[in-house]
Amino acid sequence: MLVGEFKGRKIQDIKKLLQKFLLESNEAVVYYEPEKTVVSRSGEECVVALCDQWYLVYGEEKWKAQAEKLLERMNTYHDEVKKNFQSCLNWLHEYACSRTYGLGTRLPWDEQWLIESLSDSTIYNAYYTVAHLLQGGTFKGDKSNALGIKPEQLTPEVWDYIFFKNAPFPSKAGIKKESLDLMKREFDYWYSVDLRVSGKDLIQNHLTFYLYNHCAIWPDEEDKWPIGIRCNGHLMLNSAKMSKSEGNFLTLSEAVEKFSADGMRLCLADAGDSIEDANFVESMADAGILRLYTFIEWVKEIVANKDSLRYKNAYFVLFLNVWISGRVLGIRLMIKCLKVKLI
Amino acid sequence: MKYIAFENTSGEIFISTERSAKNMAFQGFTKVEGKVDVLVQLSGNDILGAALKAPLTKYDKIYTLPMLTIKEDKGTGVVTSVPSDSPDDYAALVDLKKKQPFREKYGITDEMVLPFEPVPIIEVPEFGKLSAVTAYEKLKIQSQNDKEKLAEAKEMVYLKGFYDGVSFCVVFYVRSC
Repeated sequence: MLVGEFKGRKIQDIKKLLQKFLLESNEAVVYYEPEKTVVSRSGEECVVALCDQWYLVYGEEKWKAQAEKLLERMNTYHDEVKKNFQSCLNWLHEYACSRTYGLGTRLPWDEQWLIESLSDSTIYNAYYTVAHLLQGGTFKGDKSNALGIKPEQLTPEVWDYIFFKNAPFPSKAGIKKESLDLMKREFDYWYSVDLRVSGKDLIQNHLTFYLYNHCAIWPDEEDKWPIGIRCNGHLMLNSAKMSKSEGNFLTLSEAVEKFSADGMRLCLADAGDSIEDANFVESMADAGILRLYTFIEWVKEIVANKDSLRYKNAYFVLFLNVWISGRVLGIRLMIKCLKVKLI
Repeated sequence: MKYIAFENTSGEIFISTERSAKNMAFQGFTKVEGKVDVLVQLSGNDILGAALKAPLTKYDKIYTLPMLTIKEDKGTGVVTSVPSDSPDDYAALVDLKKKQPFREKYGITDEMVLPFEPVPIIEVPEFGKLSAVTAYEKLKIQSQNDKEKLAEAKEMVYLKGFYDGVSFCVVFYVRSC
């Protein structure tokens, strides 16, 4: 049967065939295990388990072509981000997206499964365009809204009508056409998303799904496809990775308490931008507060003595007044003005 | 090293490390998912010298032999020896052949080791038909515990063997070679 079939052929070509042969003749079985010891947070050693799974077929030719088209015209602000996306589009293929636990939308055709969050959270911004009409001014949406629409009435057909250009009017929903048209107009006007800001670690999963899923949901409505993505690195604290276990940790509120909001802003302005990991250095923040304090004191002095100043300093003092009144018009702008007007 | 024997869904008995049996239990190998019915606990010594029948080899019978560098946390703990192309396997075989006290220590008789020679199966450019032997001799490896040199040999041979190696005599076809 197979005698001679493998002779004289390159190993890289026949390895899979030999494997198949052994499996079919029942001389071998397929076995998986973790590449090295993996321990869960609960202290258990992990194994590889064969489970039923639903997969999103990322990498499918036509779909991938759309995603690539979308990426091409997007603003990613930094070359590195675009390159990262391109390489991700190159290798991403079937992605297991179903879970039995956690938060997520249930698969409509198999409700025991939930869609995992990275795949599930890609077009939710569309809801923001109509949330103000439905939530009745509340966070939970537990008060009625001006249009008189109830949550039970929002069926998939209703959403289709709102979010797609050419979906049929859902006559059975019991919602007035004008109300739905109002929502449709809101969505149409405000969507697509001009800018999504996210961490660079999400480029290889969620953000690429973001591209793919928009193409899938609105294949013929490219005006609904996202316009820009800006990725940032991970903030370091005092040049080291933030780590609770190592004591290197600072929350936003702690920082504001320690350095004041403006002190923090000065420090963040210096910490770094773009996709690199920014560095929040506490000594910088400390120095910043001192400078600010000194500056305020000096400004107060000048303003108190403004009548004794000559005319050419007038607009200089005007700017300072505005600043003291509590509006932070951008410290950089302030510094720029000072540089220009100082005698 | 410790092993267990357990029954799989088709009634066969598998011998492996308990760790890998646990993995198998989640991959449809056992009757109850996640549960391994341990039939017997074994140590490596218990299974050394056992006569085996292996697929794709010209030898009717081969024997379980000791190899000191097998890891407990990788795979099943039972490894197919391919002395023609794996420097580690060749080194282990040479150790057994050279050192009689080593054989005796593990209850390995002469007939379990001495008649077995590496069977050439892959031709690799620059390494010939027994690439592991070539690498072993080139690097003057002394034993299976020669970690650094064996790692070097492995690197030399594995990638080249996979990408440039040509099977010139596939093992199960070897009967008429």
